[in-house]
Amino acid sequence: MFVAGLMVTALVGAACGDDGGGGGGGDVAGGEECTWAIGTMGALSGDLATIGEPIVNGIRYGVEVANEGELACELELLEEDTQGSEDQAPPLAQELAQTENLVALVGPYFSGETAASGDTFAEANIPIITPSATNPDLSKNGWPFFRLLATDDASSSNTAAYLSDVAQFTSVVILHDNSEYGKFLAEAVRDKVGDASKGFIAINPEEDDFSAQISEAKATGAEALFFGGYEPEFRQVIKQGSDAGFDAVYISGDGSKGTELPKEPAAEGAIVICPCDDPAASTNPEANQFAEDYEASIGEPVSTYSIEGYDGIQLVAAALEGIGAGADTPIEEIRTGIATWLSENTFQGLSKEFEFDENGELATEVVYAYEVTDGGYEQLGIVSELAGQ
Amino acid sequence: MNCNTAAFGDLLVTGVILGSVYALIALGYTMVYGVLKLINFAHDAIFMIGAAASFYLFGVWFDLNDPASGLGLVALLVLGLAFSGLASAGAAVALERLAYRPLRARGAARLSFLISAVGASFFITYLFQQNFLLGTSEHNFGGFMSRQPLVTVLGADLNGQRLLLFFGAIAMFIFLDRFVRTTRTGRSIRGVSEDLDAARMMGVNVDRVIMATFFIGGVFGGMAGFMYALVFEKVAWNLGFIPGLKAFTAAVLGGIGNIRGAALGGLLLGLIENLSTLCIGAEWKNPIAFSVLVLVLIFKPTGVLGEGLAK
Repeated sequence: MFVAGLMVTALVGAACGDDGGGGGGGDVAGGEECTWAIGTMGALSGDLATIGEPIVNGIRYGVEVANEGELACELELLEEDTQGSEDQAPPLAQELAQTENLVALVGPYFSGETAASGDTFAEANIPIITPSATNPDLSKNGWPFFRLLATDDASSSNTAAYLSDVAQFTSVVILHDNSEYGKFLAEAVRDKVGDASKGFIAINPEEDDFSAQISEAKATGAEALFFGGYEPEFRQVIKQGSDAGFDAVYISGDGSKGTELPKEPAAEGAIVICPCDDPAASTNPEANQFAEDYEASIGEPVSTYSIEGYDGIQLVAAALEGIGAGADTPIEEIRTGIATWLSENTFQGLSKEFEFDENGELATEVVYAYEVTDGGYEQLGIVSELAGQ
Repeated sequence: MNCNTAAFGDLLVTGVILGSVYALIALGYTMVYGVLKLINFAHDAIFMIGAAASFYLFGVWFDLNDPASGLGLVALLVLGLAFSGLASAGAAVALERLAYRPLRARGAARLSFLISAVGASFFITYLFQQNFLLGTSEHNFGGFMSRQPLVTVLGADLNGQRLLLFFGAIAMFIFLDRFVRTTRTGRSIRGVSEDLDAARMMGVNVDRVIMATFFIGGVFGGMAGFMYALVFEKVAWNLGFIPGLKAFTAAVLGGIGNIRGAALGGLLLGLIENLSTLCIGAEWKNPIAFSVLVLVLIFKPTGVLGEGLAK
């Protein structure tokens, strides 16, 4: 409890987001200068910032590109830092939702914080366009919600398909971090691999020592270890597992596909199953070009969900153009207009073609397999194709 | 019940290693309690400072990434232990001067010390969370030491980091036990612990003894921080939270104020945590460990070995 108290203070202490001045610029000397705000929120600092940074950078770059287009008003990005915590998200969401010229949200990045803040945005009719939150239940709340990638349902089915049909493992031990995202994914994988599942073990991400869990996992003698959770813990699991001589193939989901994982020597050969596209490894030349332009603009190589974040902004821009929004259009009308436009139209993004069903889920869900090789990720391919389905 | 006997050897060995960490940190709680009857809640931050100091030394100033070996590695480890130990000891002495001595001079109530301790813990921890120190993200650490297993004990692979932690803890405990029993300073510490006022009347410089106690606890906490960071290859502002809480528990379990009790309590807690997962899932290790603590305290409120440095 003592620790919990300290944690809460940590969250409150760090709760100060960038909040640029809201409101349009008004009439300036005959010009039609106006701004529309787009909100984004996620882990911009803290342990999970390695996952949040590439997303927000994709979004930032997306805003830069959209502003070079023909929009009636300039787009302004409002960033809120949740540190990935669902406890910290609601007040920040409140702050964004009260911003008068906010037209849409591209975020939140994680499922927990999305679940905790979705109602706030929905009440203000603000479209919630998430580039990376994958919990399937999120689209069942009646929110104006759009998801730019496959859900954990699709990820877990594809993970199970990878384990049994591609790698043909007959035994897998499953670990998870008890988070909304990690436990859900782990349970789904466990249910889908059936008899191959040899154990289901929780770790506490606030602790560092997983020796008890690793011993338990090692004793199952499984060929593969699947971890449902985030990158920092996946790295520790791999490190402590290899320290303990547990030579399984380590596999995880999109929460583990961060920039630090490939730098861990023991992670060589680890597999990540992710609905994220890797533009650098894509067969689409425009996506390859994006990877180059992004790096030139941001100064870092493109990473997980950068391209989805970028596409989120381009979707909003396309919707704004599609509904013919202008400086005089009431914000309320723009917000509902964007949601309607997104559900009725198809948009060719860089990562994929976006066509949403009535819940805001993608009509076609694609999940990729990646392997950690030589300090980087190699895209093995689309799981359903690898599995020959 | 489905007991996982295959993992017994592994769990036994890793439990002992985990217990060594708890024991080393528990020392800091126990020694300060022994002389001041105060739970120094800021000791988790002192532990973290040791890890942070070694991160600055090796990660930032030396920027070491390639594995060293032989004498070079030994030199690095000795340097790391000395540097982190001294950094934490310095911080612990400063803590005593700033947070506790002024209260003692004014004859403050015990509760004031406790609040001051909790406040100091928050202060130091969140100071290190600021971007000009460690910041909010965790840092990789310890690339200069290979993780290859060196020996296998009861089926558990042990690398240099874990061996260092285990044998380091044993050496430090033997040293401290001898120190407190045989040296002049040790005798003074025992005297103050038994009766502070009587010791003062006998001519013991109580302030000096208290400072020495904080210094020793700090050295051990700092070294533990360094070795902990090596094992887990990470340094972060909140590194001390969980180990600090567990170590405090270990100190109480073994008998707070009692040096041998800290060693025993640490080992017991590490073993209970890991072995409890033999028959029940690992997610139960904390509830079980803390239930054992409560049970021990019900039947033996002073802990397994009883209170008091003097014993």
